[in-house]
Amino acid sequence: MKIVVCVKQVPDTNDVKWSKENNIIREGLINIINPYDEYAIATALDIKKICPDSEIILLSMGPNCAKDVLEYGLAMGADSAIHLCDKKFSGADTSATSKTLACAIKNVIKDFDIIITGQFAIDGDTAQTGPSIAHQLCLPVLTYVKKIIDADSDNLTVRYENEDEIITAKTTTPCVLCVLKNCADLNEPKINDYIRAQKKQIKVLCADDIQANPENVGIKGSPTFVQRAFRPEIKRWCKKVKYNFSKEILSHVIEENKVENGEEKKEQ
Amino acid sequence: MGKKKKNNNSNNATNIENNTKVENATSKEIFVFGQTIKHDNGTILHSVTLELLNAAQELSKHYDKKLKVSSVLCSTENIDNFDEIKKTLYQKGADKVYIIKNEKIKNHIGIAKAISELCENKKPEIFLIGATTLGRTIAPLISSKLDTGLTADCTKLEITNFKDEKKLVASRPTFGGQLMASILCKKTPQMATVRPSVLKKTDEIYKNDGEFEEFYPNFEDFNDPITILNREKNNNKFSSSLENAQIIVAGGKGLKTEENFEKLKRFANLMGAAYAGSRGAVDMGLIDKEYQIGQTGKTVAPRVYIAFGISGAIHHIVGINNAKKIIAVNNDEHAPIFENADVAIVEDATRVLDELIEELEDRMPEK
Repeated sequence: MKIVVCVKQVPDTNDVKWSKENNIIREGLINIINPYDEYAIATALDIKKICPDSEIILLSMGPNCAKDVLEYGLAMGADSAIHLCDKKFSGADTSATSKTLACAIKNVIKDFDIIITGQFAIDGDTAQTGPSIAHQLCLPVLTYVKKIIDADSDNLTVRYENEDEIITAKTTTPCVLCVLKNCADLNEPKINDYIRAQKKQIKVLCADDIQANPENVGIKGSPTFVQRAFRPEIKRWCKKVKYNFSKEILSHVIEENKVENGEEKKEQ
Repeated sequence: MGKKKKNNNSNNATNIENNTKVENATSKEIFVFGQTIKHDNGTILHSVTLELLNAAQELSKHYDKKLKVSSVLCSTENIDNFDEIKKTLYQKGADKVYIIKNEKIKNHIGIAKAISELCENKKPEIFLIGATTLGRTIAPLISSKLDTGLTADCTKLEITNFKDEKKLVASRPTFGGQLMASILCKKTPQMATVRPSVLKKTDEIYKNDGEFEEFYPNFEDFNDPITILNREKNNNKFSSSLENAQIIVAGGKGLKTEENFEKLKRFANLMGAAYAGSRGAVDMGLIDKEYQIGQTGKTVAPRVYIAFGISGAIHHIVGINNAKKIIAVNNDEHAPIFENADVAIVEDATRVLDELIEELEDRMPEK
């Protein structure tokens, strides 16, 4: 079985610094593998346990530094990696990104069985790329996947969740899965894993290599665009309270409750 | 600026629409996905549907000729109380209700296929979908099928003039909530998903009746690739109760231990409040991810939000900005949460919790 795992390098958004002009200072930001994608790789490794002859291929679109997360994924146990790196890809929104990834999967990887992505990316948090890839390749997609139950050459059984249910469903393959955190056990790679990973290949491909239509990639292929970006406004006026705190909190809460209950009683 | 002028226009547009229904039939539409959920007493509408209807009405006013707000119902189950659901949709802001019918619609794939076909038919100008699990799955499938853009998880919707055209401005937090981005879409429908509890539904009754159309999509060659084997209630999922909670007490890294989180839960129970945690607390394993509030968790809008030991990184703030009152307890007087709180208590969070529990237990000795 051939499993493609799409991974993304994201800035560690926990530690963002602002310039005086209210711009994010991007220099010095640490890039990490999107945490959900780590579980996507772990899910592929789980499927490999069920079907030992499986091959896991990582796929990432991004600047040079995306290589780091591919190396990490190889150390986790993936077999090979493809890095889509071309200036033409830059400025892509989710629509253009999914078209580019789908194009590479279709034209370069070809006979695949399962595509796995993380449900969210912590920087953009759009949750769109997985389902969009599925549409581009006319494949079924299951989202919010919590666990792999079973896999064989034609079908995949998984547990996923929606608003108020946990659903067990079987899908035909090829298919796309978008996985949540904790859907598989993570094993952090050790030094030996990194050494072994150095022998694995990272193929760097440009737009022409994947036979991408230049109209469909990067900023050109993106139907959405950012009109402006700004720092979220902070709107509250704060009253500082030092002592006698517990009563203070309670009085605020009780005051709010009184308003609501009073209204409700009148209606009754 | 210019807002007053737009409102005047909108009043005119509303009057015209009320008087001449025929003209209404040809006007452009804003689609709102009508998400239903199975409830013990029948089917109900997801609250986000009502929030979006109201938002769509506001947006439609900014057009010279008011756009028609149409709610699209497409469910995998039969809706028994359909008349009731339909009436609620009109009351909360729908000019028109579509119901899509085909028995082959069993899951998100069928829903996305059917709605895409309706869109190809009706060519809506804007399409709004709740950022629920289902909504976030069908929205990208539909936008890809229609080859248009989709802005996910918006917190604000506006209309702007862009190159002599009215355009939807969908704003969303990005970069882990550090940055807000206002996004426009070159193609139509201009699609956006919006989180529940971010926008407000109307308290008034918009109308009691309106247009109605049944739509029968073509599923002749459709073989569903997905077979559902089992469904069970997701008891672990606390989202709806968090999103509807009136009082929420939340803990952050500052609470440090599981023992202190037990205190937080104890306090929540005594208050009749829901409890939650920050991303930091979830990362430390102090509370389950289901209870996480913020950019990568839930967005909430309680009357009172009490934060214990939460520093208040912006990704947390974007999840609580709609709370009516925010009370923050943190021993670091420079904690950023204080810039976004109504009441700041500079004190050790655990100590405050202890005192509160003691005080509440004293108040209700009979319990």
